[in-house]
Amino acid sequence: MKCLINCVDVESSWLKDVMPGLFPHFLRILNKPLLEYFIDFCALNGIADIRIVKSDPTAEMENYFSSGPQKGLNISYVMGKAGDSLQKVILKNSRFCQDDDLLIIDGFFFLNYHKDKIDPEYLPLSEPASLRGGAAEDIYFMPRGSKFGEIDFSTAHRLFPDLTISELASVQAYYQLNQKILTQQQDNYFLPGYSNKSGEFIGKNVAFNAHHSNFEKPFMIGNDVQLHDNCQILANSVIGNNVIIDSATTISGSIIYDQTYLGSNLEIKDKIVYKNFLIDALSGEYFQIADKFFISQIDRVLENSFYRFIQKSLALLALIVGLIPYALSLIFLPFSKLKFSKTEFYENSDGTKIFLPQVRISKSNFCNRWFFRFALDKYPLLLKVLRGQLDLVGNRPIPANSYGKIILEKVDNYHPAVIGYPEIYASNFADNNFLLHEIYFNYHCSLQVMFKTIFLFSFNRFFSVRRYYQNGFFSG
Amino acid sequence: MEKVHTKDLGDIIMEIYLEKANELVGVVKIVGRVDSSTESKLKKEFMNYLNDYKKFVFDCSELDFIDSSGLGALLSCLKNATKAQGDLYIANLLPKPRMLFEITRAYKVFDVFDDLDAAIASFE
Repeated sequence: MKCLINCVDVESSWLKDVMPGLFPHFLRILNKPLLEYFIDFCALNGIADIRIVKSDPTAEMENYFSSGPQKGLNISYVMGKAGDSLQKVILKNSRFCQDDDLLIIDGFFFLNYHKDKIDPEYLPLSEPASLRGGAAEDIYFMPRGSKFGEIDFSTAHRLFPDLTISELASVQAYYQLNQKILTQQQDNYFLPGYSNKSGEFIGKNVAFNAHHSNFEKPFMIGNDVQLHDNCQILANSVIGNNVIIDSATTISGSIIYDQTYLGSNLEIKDKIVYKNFLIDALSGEYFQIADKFFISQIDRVLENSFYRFIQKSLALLALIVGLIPYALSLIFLPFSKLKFSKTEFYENSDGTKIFLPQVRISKSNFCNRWFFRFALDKYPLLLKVLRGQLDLVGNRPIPANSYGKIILEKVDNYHPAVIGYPEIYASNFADNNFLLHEIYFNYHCSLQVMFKTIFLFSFNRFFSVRRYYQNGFFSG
Repeated sequence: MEKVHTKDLGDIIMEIYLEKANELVGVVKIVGRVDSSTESKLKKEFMNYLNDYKKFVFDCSELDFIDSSGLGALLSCLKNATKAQGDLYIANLLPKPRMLFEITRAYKVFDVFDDLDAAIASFE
């Protein structure tokens, strides 16, 4: 028996507003992605072959679940297209779907089950059946050989008579679901973390001072969490993975997402903290905290101090080496007709803006080609690297305009830089692959990739000027 | 309420109005954002208002955004008001700025009122 999980075309405008950049099926329910509950449910029903149809172009899902060997599963992934009907999704995956009984989980919802009460002999059924939720939440069962379009599911049997579906239609619904599971249904699901006592879930590598911290059940703490002195984790709190909570901060009835830093002396009550978004769990109101010392996201590699030190050192070296060529180019400025200007770009994912000096090469002549070969148009930006406002290698700065805002929403973990990773492919904003290059870099960023990018960028700039010219890098 | 003084600070980011509630209490209406770019202007303007009043209510019904610098500015205003034997209350906080007041425990320092009239009346 197989299962097809359709994660495309999710209607969740609240999620897009308060947790931008989060793939809906990666919404954490007690430190575990929603999708993992579906996969657990499949495993409990004896389904080993699972196909996930996703819309997220990154490899985050594959990295998290892999192909499922640790759970004895075989998970495969395909990209889906927004707007496709479920029937079309099944047709596109017909080779996977056709030769076995099929369970289909379609939509963005939570399935309320008890792991000890699922009958592994219940499936497969002899006839089609369905479990309907709200507007867009459904589970279907199709016996081998049947066709989705030919089944009238409105008259079909009810699938899993003892189970119910919880809609995730709002912040409040999401929060209440977390609270309900933590307080009343801990035993219903496989939850992450060690639990010696009822109501306590603590992950690996959690550091805290036992004499100066206070814990009140029920609570859940993820992996790699640091709690500084006099922290209080009070009832109904869920702390994600890789979280730092500074001294004398109190958390109660709140959900803190992965990769979060919480400053000292704060009181977080009935809130959800995602990146630097502070969300009131009771009203759904949200507020983006501007001060990093209150609440901020702990970035992965890009915030690494050694990585930054290397970037700054290289920028300083480039500033020294490029000083004479850049000074010469300024002398020849009247002949080269270079245009210097300042343009507003996004500084980070929060939408903060920054003015960056721009050198526009409006004409391809001898002077300008050499200016471009030596990448002297980047020279004024190097100072921004030393000031910590830009990275040396990262994302291409996105212009602060309406089109740029759309791109900004799609580039998770955006870090503007002097050398944008897509530039090694002479890729610019109009290029279809531009966004893929950006996202690829953000998820594969390392020192090795940084050096490789600098080398390829320099090489291509020097030897492939014509290619850049054709791709519109010389513009007025 | 009689508007006794209006100060447009020259940009659309923040505006401050001093309104006269009664002989004793000055109502300062803050519109827009109080952050690092506007906090010094708020502090400076408040020092001028201290010549006319000692007791103040900050009407934050149109305060859209506040950060740590803004909180610092409000704290500075409170400090200067108390130094002049007066006081400063906050009223009508919108939900978003209220969240910052909550998590930073600023409500323990400031007297925060839901209603402007109640804040003014509490001085009497």
